[in-house]
Amino acid sequence: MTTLREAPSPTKREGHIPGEPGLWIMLLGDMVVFAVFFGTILVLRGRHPELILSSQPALHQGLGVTNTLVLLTSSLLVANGVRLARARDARAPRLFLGALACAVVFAGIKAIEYTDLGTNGHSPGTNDFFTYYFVFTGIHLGHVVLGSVGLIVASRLARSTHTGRNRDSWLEGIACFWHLVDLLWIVLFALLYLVH
Amino acid sequence: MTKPIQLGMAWCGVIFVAIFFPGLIIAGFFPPIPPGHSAAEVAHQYQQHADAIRAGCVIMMIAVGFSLPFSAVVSTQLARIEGRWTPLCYTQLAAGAVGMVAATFPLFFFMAASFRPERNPDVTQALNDIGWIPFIINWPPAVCQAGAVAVAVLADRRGDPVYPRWVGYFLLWACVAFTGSSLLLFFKSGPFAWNGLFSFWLAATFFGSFFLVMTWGTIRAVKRQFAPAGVEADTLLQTA
Repeated sequence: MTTLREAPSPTKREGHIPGEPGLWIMLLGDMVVFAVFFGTILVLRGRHPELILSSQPALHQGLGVTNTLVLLTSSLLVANGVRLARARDARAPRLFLGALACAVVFAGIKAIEYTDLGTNGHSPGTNDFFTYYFVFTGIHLGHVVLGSVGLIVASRLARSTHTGRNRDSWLEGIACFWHLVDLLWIVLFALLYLVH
Repeated sequence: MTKPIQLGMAWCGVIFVAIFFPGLIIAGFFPPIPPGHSAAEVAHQYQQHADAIRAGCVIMMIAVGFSLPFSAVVSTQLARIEGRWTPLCYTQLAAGAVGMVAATFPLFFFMAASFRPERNPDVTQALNDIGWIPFIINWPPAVCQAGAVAVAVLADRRGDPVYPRWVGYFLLWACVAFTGSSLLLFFKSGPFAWNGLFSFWLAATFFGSFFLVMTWGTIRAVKRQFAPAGVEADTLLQTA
């Protein structure tokens, strides 16, 4: 913590932790919770492989792939946004807003998927596979919403005129959370849509 | 307020956990009675273990009493962070008080269920349900309590914060984990049921660690408050 409040020096940069050290308790902790989700899916797959095989075709792989690309693009925008913001580049806020637009597209596609599954008679109560699909992607969508609030904050902080305390540390923290949202989706996507 | 009183109240957090969980085990509620049990199975459990359940419930009721002084001393430390206007301190104290009721009330239903276990099994099952459902699903008080502390800790502007900042992030993580029990009404078995991985085990682990981490942090905060540097920092804040 204290290192972040002191003026950055070349030697300090070597041991730099993005955001602040405490933030990583939350990020790694969230990963642990999701790791338990992933384990639950794998246990189901081990016990009832036929359930996965019969349920998985109902999911739209195309929409899943599109959403993966949308989130990867948003992560690229966020990473570049942080880089430009550090250099006090006036274009930085636009990149965070671009990532926010990706988040909106992601949520829109997810809504289409849920509606499509619902109209075809698949609900969280259909079987264990769909329970896990709706609950885990729903919790992930909650993360997307939280991250989007973060991206709005980031776009304001990234204004080159902004001189708040710990500005860079906040930007890095929000970016790390967004990368986490992206990373968790990639694993979730693979386990739910792809793995047979 | 004097240092020993605050330290004693902080220790109540550990005492709560150290009495509550053994009570849960003595009652045979750890792991919980499965929600998928038939009325006859539930009634059988209450008939076979009536005295253990009665004793466990009384022990848990006593344990919950210790959570109140603990919540009050946490609010005292939050007030140090907040200064003159203390909305988070009030939120935490109110949530702690309501949390005490939330933890105690289900016990009364378990007590009633164990009081006449020879009755109609359907009635015992209903009492058992009225106990378990609020016992596990009622997370809002815990999230208000942990959330208020988290916001205060992360908003602490002192050079030497009252609580370490990682405590704030840990509590945000715990808030997310507490909400895992929301789906228990829809399941009689599996990870979301009231004895499941996400509803019970995750929430129980975080509920216990919330009190242990906060006890450690609060004892540390009280000791630093009464060290010369802490007294000076508080005086500066009050006059500012």
